[in-house]
Amino acid sequence: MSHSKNPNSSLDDDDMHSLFSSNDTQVPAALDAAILTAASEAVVSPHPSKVQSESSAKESSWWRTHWPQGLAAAAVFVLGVTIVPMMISSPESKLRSSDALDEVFEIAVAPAAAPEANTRAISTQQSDTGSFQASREQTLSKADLRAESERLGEPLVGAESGLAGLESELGLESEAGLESEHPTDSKAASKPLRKIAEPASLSMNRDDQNIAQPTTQDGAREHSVADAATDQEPAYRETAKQWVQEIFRLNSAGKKDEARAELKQFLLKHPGSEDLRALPQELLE
Amino acid sequence: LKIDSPTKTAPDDNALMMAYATGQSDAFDTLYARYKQPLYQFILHGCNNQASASEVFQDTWMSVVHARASYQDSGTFKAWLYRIARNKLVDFYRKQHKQSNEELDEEAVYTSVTTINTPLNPLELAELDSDRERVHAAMDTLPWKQREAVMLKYIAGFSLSEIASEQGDPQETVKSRLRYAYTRLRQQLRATS
Repeated sequence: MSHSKNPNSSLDDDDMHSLFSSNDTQVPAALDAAILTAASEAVVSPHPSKVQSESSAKESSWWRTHWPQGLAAAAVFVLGVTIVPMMISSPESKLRSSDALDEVFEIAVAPAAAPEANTRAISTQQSDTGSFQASREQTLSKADLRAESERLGEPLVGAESGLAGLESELGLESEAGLESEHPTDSKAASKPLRKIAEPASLSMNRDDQNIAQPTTQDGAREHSVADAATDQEPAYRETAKQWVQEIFRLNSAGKKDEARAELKQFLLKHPGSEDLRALPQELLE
Repeated sequence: LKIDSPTKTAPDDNALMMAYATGQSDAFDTLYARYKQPLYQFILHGCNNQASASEVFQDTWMSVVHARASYQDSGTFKAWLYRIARNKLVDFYRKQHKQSNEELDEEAVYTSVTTINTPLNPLELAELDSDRERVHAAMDTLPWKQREAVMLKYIAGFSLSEIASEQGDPQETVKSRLRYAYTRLRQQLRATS
């Protein structure tokens, strides 16, 4: 025993301290070195897992703050690549320009029982703005059309021929059954035409907008077409006086049916004309 | 046992540990120099095996190193260090029981320490030729709570209140525990004389 007191006699606090201090075993030097080295390395270079966890923590914190934007972008992308192509390829899609054109110029043949055989529906236009009113659908009888033609100072035949010329230009003639190049055509006159106007935005990508929007440039084109149609009219129809003289000549030549037909056309074009006094009363009745 | 307690001019343990947490490895060296010997004795009397004691000792200090960032300047460094060492000892005994296919909770570990380190009979004790081995043999006969109280008081230098705080018992209970330990150790050492 290295301590002074005999442990067998008595054990008080001093004895106990002496007893355990006598058993003072030293820490191995290798263990000291290993612990001190590990401790110093720990503070010099952080643990790789710690660095990795810090970088992942950065990424996770970014996602925590920006997840709504990311989610919204992903949703927009998914909708863009799935829904939009489906909408475009849908048969009911209004985005397909060809369908829109068809709908704009859909001309339906009304039932034969329609009382107004020569009723025509046309979409009204606003020439000052260049855009046509898609929602308005105005139905004009032929008499109204004639009155409008009179007001504008243009021959009815020319107006109708011009419209027919435009339609034939677009290739709609056969489809629509329009043979109204000649106003006397009973087939065209007996079939009411219906024109359903579509919003301007749907028909702006086609050349047909020139019909819907008669701008100044298109006005000249319309006049040239109308003139071409007028050229096909007989020369005597250019003035009321010559037309009446032609009717008088036919009547005198015994072609009373032709004279009456001409008179009928004349009355459509020049109702209440003073030149009619030159015609015999029996023809007027 | 004289503990290398900090002098008035030297920085205290908490300051050194906080300095080490900020990256000053010199602070750790100072702390290690202060506590390595009493801690090693504490652990050596706990597991009564030098190889195992070295392993537990290293694990204890590595835990200090890894837990430096979470160290808080609320208690004493010494209490924190020995709490780690006690937990490592409990882990050590639990591992010993796992090797023998026994599952023990923490309380069972405390009470079964004496069964692991089987006390020597008087004939075996008489054969011991050194004081260290005699003391270790006598300690092995103590229940874990008494053994831990003795180790904390006479090796680590804890006061009665500190031991009571660490063991979670009243001071009177700790006093009685130490008295029983004295009597048991006296009997064991007398038997080997």
